[in-house]
Amino acid sequence: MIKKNITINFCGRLYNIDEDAYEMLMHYTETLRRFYKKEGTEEVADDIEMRIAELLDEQIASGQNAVTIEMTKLVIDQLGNLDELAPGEEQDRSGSQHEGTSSTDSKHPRKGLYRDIENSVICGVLSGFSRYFGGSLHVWRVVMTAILFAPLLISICGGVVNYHLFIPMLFSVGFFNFTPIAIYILCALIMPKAIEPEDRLKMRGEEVNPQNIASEINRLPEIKTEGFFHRLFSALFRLFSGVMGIVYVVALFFAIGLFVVFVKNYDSETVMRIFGVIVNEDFGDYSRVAFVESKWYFVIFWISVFALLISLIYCCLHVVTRGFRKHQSMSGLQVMSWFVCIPMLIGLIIFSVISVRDIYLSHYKEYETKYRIDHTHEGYVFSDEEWDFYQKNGWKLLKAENLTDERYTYSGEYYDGDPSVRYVDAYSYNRNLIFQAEQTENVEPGTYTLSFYGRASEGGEGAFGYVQVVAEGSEPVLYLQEIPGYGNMLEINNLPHGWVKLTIDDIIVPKGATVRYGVSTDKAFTGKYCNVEYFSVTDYMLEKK
Amino acid sequence: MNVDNAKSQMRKGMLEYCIMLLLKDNPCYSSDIIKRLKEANLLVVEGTLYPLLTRLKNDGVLSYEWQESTQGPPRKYYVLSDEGREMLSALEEAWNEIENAVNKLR
Repeated sequence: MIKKNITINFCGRLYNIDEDAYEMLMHYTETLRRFYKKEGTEEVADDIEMRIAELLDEQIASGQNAVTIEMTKLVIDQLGNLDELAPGEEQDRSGSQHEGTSSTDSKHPRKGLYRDIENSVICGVLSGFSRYFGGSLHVWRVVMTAILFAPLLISICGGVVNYHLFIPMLFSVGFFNFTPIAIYILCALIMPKAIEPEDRLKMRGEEVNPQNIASEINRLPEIKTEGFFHRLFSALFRLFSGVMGIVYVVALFFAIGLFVVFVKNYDSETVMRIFGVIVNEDFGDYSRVAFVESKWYFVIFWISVFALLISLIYCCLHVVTRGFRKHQSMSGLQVMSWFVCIPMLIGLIIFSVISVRDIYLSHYKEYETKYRIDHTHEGYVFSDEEWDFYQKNGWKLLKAENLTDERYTYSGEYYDGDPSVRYVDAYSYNRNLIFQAEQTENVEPGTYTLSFYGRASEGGEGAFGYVQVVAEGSEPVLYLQEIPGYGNMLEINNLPHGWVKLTIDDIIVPKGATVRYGVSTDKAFTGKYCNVEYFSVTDYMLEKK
Repeated sequence: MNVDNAKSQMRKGMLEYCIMLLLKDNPCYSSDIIKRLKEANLLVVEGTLYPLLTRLKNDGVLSYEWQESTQGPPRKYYVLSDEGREMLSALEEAWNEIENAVNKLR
């Protein structure tokens, strides 16, 4: 039998040694050295190596030319196998001689906090945590990712509720993004890497003895680590594909929702409302018309939804199954479908939104003009509800200038608490309302009292409730009562939201006269400039004394 | 309790005392210690001696000196320190007591 023979320098002497014997000897001495180095008595390893050299010398002196594996085995048997030199064994034999230091440790080895390079994504901090504190590595990663993305998600949710919130929330909540990142970097700097076999054993909480060290070396002779940036980019890529997976799941629900809505509502008004939220807060009455008029969009939409649905189901299945199979690379077809799906999905969503937006914009002016013409009563544009209210209660709108909203009534803060009750109301951000509305009544001659409820914005002046008695052959007589500006927060005389009950007494109505009463903020009528932001009036009552 | 284990425990307990005995008169090279312990049937696996010697040295019982060798590199010769001598006389007393006690009982 022919064996490869090499020359080694061992304890300062040269030996001709067979390669397999060399491997065996190296393994033996390396393991012992690691073990005793850890114990703090590395000189024991020196002594043992010297002894090995001595024993080999004896053998060579007895006529052997080269060190063979048999010789090595003999020597190792004589010195003791690795398991015989293990501390547990030694402790048994040496009994009480071996004090304190490792008696408790060997039964319950202390775990060490190391970075688990072997299973690392970036620096192995989280895998080290999961080794040390327990818990599934997947859970640690998912939780960390969630913490990392929570601020962004919260801001997006905030932005959905109210778009003014998005940027400030992103800035304030986003601050918390730095905390986990900073902690991670700190841990990566502080925690040592588990590169040496002893460290790897300690990290897993296994006993550090020659036997375990030897098997650990056999299991994984050397840990291969890629460069930091390589790992960072691959981590980012994994994160990206993970995020895309979540996006796909969300989009799948969205698509299924769309599908169900389409099936249930052929006129698609609800669908339009869904997109209406994205494009503009209120589609009003036009969504139905706009959509029904464009059959092509309807067809394209159907096809898109089907395509989206099929591709999404495929991708979701892939994401789910990939989770179970570790480190499995995707086939070319899968990668292609994966990357085709992303732009497809984004494209479809953008296309849908833009197409709906286009319809909306192209029809907007036409419908707006039509709407305004249809809804103009006595020179002012009323919504259907408001016109109903004015008609039913006999209100007549005389002036409405500088209104911020094109509305003449409001509801929600009625003084008896009923939020559905409407009342006359106007709002001007610039505090320059010129508004006048009144009711007319023909009554018998006599002395009357007018009572009504009113309120005005805090500190506001110049909003008046009034009575005007118009008789033939004489000048109209005007009675004014200013509405106090208490705002809408105060409760006065058990009336909430700043409402007060006001009266105008001693109204003399001659024969054949007409009584007009209402509200005015017009300086030309009341004689006083009005600076209220808003006012409300309601429940006018004219009573004879 | 099996006999081998009991024997092994007794041998282990005596090992330190015997090493000190060997070193009482003159310094010894570790291989010589091994040789003589083996002759006395006190040592089975050579490798266990080295940690023991190192521990005794660290405890101050032994010290060593390097001596040039005619064949190969310099060798560690172990010697008993003063502290070791005190300890040895204490152990010898203890041994005599044990011997007497055991003889009485036999």
